Amino acid sequence: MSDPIKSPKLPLIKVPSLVDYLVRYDLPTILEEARLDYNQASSGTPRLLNQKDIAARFRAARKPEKPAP
Amino acid sequence: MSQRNTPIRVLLVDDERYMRVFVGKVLGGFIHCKVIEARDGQEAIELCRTEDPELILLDINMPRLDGVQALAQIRTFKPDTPIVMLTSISEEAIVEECVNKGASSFIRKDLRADLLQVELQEMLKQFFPGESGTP
Repeated sequence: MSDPIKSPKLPLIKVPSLVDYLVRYDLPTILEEARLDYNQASSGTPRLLNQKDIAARFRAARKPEKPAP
Repeated sequence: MSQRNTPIRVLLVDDERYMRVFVGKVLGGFIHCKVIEARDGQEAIELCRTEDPELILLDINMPRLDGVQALAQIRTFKPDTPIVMLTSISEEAIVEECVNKGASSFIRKDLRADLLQVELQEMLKQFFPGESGTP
């Protein structure tokens, strides 16, 4: 005959500690992702150029390639 | 360098009338030119064929046919004419696209009016060195 007072076996539950709630940020990785995102025209917010940068880009396009020696 | 007697034919393409008036006045104050106006890319292509402009100022955001598409089409039959993009769009990807499609220069038209005037004058000096300064 089973003991009516004895409770059934319950699985052990690990009580969460403060450490489990800590979010660990990898700041160098996040910074690198943000830098790439900012500098790539195909991703993230479009990068806007000022007139000086635009002019430099066109000057570079006009520059003739150096002849082979 | 001697100046020519005939005016330089400039095609000014912008859907905003006030912009066409402003740029036309700046150009007219700096070089002896005849300004032809178009309101969109499609009209610009047609006028390029009939008027044979020597300088084209092209806005990007326009109805019917935008400036980048018009640039590509105009370049197929006018490979050497200076085409200057004159637009308030300044996204790097668009600037790159304009370089790749053969634009000669690119001026942000959302600059302050006096700075825009300077940029336009610099552009004229670049493409018409012997003509600018005295209309």
